[in-house]
Amino acid sequence: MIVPRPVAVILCALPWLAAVAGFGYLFFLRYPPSGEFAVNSGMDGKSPWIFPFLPAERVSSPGPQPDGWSGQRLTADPVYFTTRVPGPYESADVTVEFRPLRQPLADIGVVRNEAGTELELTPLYSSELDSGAWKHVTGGFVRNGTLKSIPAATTAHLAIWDSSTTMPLLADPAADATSTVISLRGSHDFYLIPSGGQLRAKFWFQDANRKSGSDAIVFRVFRGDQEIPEATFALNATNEQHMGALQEHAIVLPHAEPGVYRISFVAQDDVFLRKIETTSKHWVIGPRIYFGDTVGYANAVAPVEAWTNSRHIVAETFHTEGVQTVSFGAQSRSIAKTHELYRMDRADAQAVVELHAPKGDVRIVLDGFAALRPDAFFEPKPRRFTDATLVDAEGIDAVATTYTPPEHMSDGWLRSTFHVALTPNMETLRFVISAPGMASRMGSLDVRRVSLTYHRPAEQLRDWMRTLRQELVNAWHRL
Amino acid sequence: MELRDLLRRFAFHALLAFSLWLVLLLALEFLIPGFVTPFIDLIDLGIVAVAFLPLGIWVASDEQTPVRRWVSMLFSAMLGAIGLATLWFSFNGAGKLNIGLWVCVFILSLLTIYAVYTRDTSA
Repeated sequence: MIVPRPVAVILCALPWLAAVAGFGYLFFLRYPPSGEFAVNSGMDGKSPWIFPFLPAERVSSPGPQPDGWSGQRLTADPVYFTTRVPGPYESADVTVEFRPLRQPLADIGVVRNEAGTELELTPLYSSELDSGAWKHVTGGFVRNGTLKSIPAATTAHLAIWDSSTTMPLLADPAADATSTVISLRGSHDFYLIPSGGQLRAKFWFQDANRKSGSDAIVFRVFRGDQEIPEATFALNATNEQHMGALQEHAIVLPHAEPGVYRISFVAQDDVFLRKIETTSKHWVIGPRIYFGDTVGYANAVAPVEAWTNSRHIVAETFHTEGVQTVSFGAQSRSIAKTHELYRMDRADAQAVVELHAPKGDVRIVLDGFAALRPDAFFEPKPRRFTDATLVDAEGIDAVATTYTPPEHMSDGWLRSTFHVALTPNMETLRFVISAPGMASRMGSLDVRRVSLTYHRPAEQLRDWMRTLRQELVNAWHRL
Repeated sequence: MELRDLLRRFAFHALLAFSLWLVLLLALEFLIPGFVTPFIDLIDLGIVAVAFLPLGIWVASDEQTPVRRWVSMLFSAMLGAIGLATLWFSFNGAGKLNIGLWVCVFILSLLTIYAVYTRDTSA
């Protein structure tokens, strides 16, 4: 049979046309004209774009689970999963379908650097805020029937969750200076409200010289998070072999704007603060307070009397003289050994309770703040909203957060979406899920689907050229 | 042009286009990791590309001997069998594009066998 030559030519060109079409198809898959590229995974290990959760000892095997669903069960935190980025994109929407079990709170985030030290977390789930007792308002949630918006002028009844709030602009009328005798060891942070438009605080400190070498002392002053450089003061304390002389340093800001000021005293534990004098009516210390001994300075012991809003404290003493019974609100606990941590928690409804250590000489780490006079107490910062937060007991009526409640699906499954900004040279993304306390409360987080939609502007010819140029730049860096 | 010659020429073009296409994808994958691997399993298809390239040239060659003829047919049959076996074992797990390519490998191997078998070896 004889075939005409034109037919033969067309027939022989077909494979080449198919190859060109196949290449074009792959090219459009990689560079979609819409600028959107969607991938999803049932967390079964089959997706070439989204890899299963790791580490293996904190998650179940990907795929079918014993109780009839498919995906992965997370049983401890933190866990992570990695995705392959399909080229230079500007952002991605990440959607997670999950089901919490005995886990009140979870965050999700993206790791920003290769070392894994820059983590950008976003609220994923809160059983409390999802309970229906809270109303979503601008900037967070308020409890039904209490507030109408997130309070801006006070931190009372406010908690924050992965969010920032503006500093409350607090100010007190002018007052006389009051002195407080203390014996605090090492670094401490003091929070003060200006009084009569001024901030005045004088500190008496002493280098005990129990360790050889000189001790550096630094005072730094902040308004909110903004440092006031002209108030910074540093010196070397005495370099003697015996108890050093009492020295003093005064911090004066004659035109102090309303707000919360922090005086950060930085020193080794060899340096003691012996007295504070301030015109501020409200001032607190936290989160670390080290009530020191008075050996070599005074004959009498200095008992600890402080008032705190803390819910959890950890106490420790380093001397046998500090072995004592510490009371924290209605409860008390014996510090029976040195160099051992003693944790105390309270779940009562009182906002502020007394903290008492009759012998002093104890280091206490708070989750709140403490004042050395009951009328001096104020809350300089909102409380953190955590998995251990008891909103009723702690009197929290507002939570400042970027949290968006997840969409409810059938059988207790929830779907949540969050947005991630990308840089053009990213080749992989690592996402972390944090569910604090999950292992200790035997909780879990089931994940049955993860979807990512990558975005960049819709591709015109010029955009394609720019994208290709970026691909070539990335390829050059890889080579 | 006679039909059997046309088939031979078509087999040559198909084998060459397919193998060069795969070689191009391999090169792009080397430059841009992830360009095609999420869609196509390039490792085994790369081997096929390397095998198809000389086979295509051999099929098109005017010098044909009985030995070449049988070696080409055996080689093609082997590739076809690999294509079929890969299809059989990976049908549930592989992507659609990957399956389509293995179908191409199988069809091309059959075509090659036919083209080589009907080749006039008297020259």
